[in-house]
Amino acid sequence: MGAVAFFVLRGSEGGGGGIFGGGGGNDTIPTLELRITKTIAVSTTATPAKKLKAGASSIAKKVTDAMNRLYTAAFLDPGNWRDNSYDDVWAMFDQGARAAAQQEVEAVTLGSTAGDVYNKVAEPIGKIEVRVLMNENDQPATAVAIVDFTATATGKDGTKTLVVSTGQYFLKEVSGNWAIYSYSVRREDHPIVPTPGPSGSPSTVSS
Amino acid sequence: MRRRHALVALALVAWTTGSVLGAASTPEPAAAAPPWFEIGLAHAGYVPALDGTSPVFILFIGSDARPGQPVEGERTDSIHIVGINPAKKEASILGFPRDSYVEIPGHGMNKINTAMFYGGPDLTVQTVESLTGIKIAYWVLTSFEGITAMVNEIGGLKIDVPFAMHDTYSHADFEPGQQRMNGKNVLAFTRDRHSLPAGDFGRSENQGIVFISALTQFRQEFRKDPSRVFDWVAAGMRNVDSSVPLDQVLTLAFTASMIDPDTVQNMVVPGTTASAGNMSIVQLSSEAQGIYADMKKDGLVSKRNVPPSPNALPAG
Repeated sequence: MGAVAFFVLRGSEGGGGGIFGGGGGNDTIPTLELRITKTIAVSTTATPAKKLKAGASSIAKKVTDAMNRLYTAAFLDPGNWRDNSYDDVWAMFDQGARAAAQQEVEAVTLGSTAGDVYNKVAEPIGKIEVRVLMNENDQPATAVAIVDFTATATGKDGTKTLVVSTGQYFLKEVSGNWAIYSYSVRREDHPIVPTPGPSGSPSTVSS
Repeated sequence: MRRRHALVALALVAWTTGSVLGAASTPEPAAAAPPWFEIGLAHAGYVPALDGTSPVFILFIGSDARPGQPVEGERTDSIHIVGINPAKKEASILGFPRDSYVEIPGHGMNKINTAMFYGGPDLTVQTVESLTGIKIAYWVLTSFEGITAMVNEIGGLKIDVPFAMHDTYSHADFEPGQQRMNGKNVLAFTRDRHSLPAGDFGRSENQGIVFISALTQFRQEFRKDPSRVFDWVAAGMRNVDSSVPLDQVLTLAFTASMIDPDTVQNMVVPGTTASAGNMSIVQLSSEAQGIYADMKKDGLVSKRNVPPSPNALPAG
C-alpha cells in the first residue's frame, strides 16, 4: 500500500487578506490531446508482435480518446473541479476500481477543494504510451495506458502551480467503452516560481 | 467558503510499504492536519485481485517430454498444487514426489507421474483430486523447452541455491547462494535430483523455490512498472498449456502482486521409498492426509502440519 504525500504551506484560516477570495475564472475547458509516443502489441501466441501492430494501433486510438476524456474530466473541466463534482471521472472506472478511485479523489483528480484554491487550469500537455495485450486469437484483450500529464493551475492569489499526474491505467472494453479496471497514479505538483528572464523581464519556471 | 493562504509544495515524502497498485492509505482528514500545512494523497492505485473467502487451487505440472516429444503424452517430473488464500493474500505450494504410489482413476495403483501418460492433464487433475480431496480450479502444464523459454523471456531469475549442486545428468553446476540464472540453468536447477541429499523430494522443493523466486521478481518489477504484468502473462501464455482463460490469468497475476513471497509455504508431501513389484516407488506418509485436509480449508497449511524441508534433512 504505497503512498506519497505532498505538503502545501498555507496560512491561518480566516484573516490575512483573503488571497483566494473572489472567483473570476472562466469556464472554458482547455483541449487536451495526449501525444501517442509508442504503441506496443504484446503477443500471447507464437505470432510475432510486429504482425499484431495494426490491431494494437486501432485500440491505442480508442484508449487515448478515453484518457483524454479522463484527464479533461479530472483536471481540466471547471464544471467538475470547481464543485468537486467528478461523476464523469468515476463513470470511466469499472465497479471495483471506481470505489477505490472515489476514495482517492486527491490523487485521481485535481482535488476535492480545487475550487477553493484555483481560479483557472490551462495549458494541458501530455503523452501516452499504449501497450495492448492480445488474446489467444491474436485479438486485443486489454490495454494499459502509461500517461504523463501536466497543466498549469492559477491560484486565486495569482500564484501558479504545475499540476503533474503520471499514471498507468489498465482498461478493457465494456459495452463498447474502454473502462479502467486497475490503476496506479501519482500526483507531484510543483510551484511555478517567477524568475527574472535574461533581459530582466520576469518569466516562470517550475521548481 | 474556506479561505486559505496557500503557497508552496514543500516536499515529497514517500513511503513504500506495499504494492504500488495496492489500496492506498486514506488521506489525512483536513481537520486533523496541523494548521500550517495540508497533507494530500498523491499516490493511489487499485488492483483487481481475487477476493472472497474461498481458496483457489491450481495444479502446476512439468512434463518430462524432451524436445520434439508430445508434452502431454509423457510422464511428469513436477507436480505441485498451489493454494491461494484470497482473503489473506497468502499462498502455499505442495509438491508431490513423482514416484508417489497412488490410485490413478481408471488405471489402478501406479506412480502419480503416469497419470499424464494415461490421460494428460485432466487425468492428472483427477488423480490429485482423488488423492487429496482438494478441488483443482485450473491446471498449468509446462515442458523443458517451455520453462527455458519462459525464464529467458522474463530476463532470467534470481535463485537462492540451497547447497552445491553438481550433476551431469541435469547439467546443474551451481555453488550455493543467490545467483541469476537463464532459462537453461533454471531448468537444470529444477531437474537435478542426483546431487541432492533427499533426491526427488529435494528436487520438488527446489521447484517450489523457483515459483517463489519468480513471485519475488514479478512483485519487484510490478512495483516499478505495473505494465510489466503483460510481459509476464504473455511469456507464460506463450510457453505453457493451461486451462486458465486469459482474463483469469490476469486476475491471478494481479493477485500474485499482492502476495508476500516470504509468507509462501513451500512443502513436499512426505513419504518413504519402497518398492511395488519391480518398481521403485514412494509410499506417501500417513501425515499427508492431515496436510491435504488442512490445505483444503483455506489454501494454507497450519504450522503444526507443515512437513520438514527435505533439503534440510541430513544426507543419507
